[in-house]
Amino acid sequence: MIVLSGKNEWSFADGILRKNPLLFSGMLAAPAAVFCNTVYHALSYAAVFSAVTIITLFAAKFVPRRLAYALRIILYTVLAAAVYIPIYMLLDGILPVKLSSFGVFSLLIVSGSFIVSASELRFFRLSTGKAFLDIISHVLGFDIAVIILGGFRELLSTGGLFGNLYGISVTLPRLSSPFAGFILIGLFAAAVRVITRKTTAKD
Amino acid sequence: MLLGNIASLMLTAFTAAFTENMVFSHGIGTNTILAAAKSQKNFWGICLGVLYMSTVGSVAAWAMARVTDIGNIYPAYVPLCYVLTISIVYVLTLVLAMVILRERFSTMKKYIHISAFNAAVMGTMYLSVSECTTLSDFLFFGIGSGVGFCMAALMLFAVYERLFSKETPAAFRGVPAVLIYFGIIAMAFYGIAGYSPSYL
Repeated sequence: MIVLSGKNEWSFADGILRKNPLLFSGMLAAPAAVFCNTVYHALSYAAVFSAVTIITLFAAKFVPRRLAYALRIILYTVLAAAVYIPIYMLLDGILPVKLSSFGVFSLLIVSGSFIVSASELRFFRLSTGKAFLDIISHVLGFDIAVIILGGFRELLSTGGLFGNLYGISVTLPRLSSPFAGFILIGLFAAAVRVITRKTTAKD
Repeated sequence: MLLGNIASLMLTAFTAAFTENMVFSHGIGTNTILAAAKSQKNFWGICLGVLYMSTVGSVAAWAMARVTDIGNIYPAYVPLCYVLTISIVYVLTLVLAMVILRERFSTMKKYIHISAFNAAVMGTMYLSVSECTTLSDFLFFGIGSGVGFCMAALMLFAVYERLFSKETPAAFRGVPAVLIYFGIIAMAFYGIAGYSPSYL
């Protein structure tokens, strides 16, 4: 049983369900809707996003708050872009999708709203240990949502999973398009909201 | 000849605003649009900020592409090149705004902060490098993208209160309704463009 927090309490499950960055605030909706339309795409993007975000946000926790806001923002994004380099070298070739195919979405990993808003508005308020767990919870929340959505879209749009076709005759190829991605994320977010509300009410 | 050039530049701007609309064709910038549509007070500040940053950022991307030969460098370094470029634009803009706006700087600087490091501007810079060749192309692509962002923000602003109101079912209220709304508008833009982006 996942324990959900009350309004002002902290819980590890919050980042996965109630405050999921993709489903709760629409963060990183672009890569989720446009790029992550298969399991392999979603897995690869989630792996790079997780590695870069966790390392950057943890390092960002030690950026002095007395620095000017503009300098802090520059520092966060330059830090993320610098972390992206070894992560790219390490994971390219291991992951099922070539990382150069991320295109414009590689920029959203390092300069998207997640890193900046998370380090400025949320994580610095928590103790180091709790902040680290909170970062993992939010990153995991995005990863789980994007992989489930990617699998669902791949299955319905191609009739297969992990690039293997299962001979399903009726497919919906347009589910892999960006507009279908947005609509599915919206529906998925509503479903998760209903489930978490029912769970909280029962508890 | 001159008329042909003007028509070509207008087409570049039109393409960036409509068929290559950053929000509806690429899904980029949804979070900034949400921030803009949230309050009437900040709406035009954020929209004009993004329009300015898209335009200047696109021109800066032209310079960066020439200095770094971005098309041929190892892909791992690409995000760093863009981040450093926008950082320079950001700092120069802040200095310029401080000199020009003086007393009003403290109220206006938040729009510069929001506009600089966001997906819409980074996306514009990235796409301008892959789609434009001349400086004027870059300039008009940046303007077109900024206008496209403002148009998308206006579309959300028009229905924002309704999507967040108590009349909307609780499960869909807010972000889920916004995403479905974006999806439906994106479907219309997809119909106009009549193509799938190359990365699909």
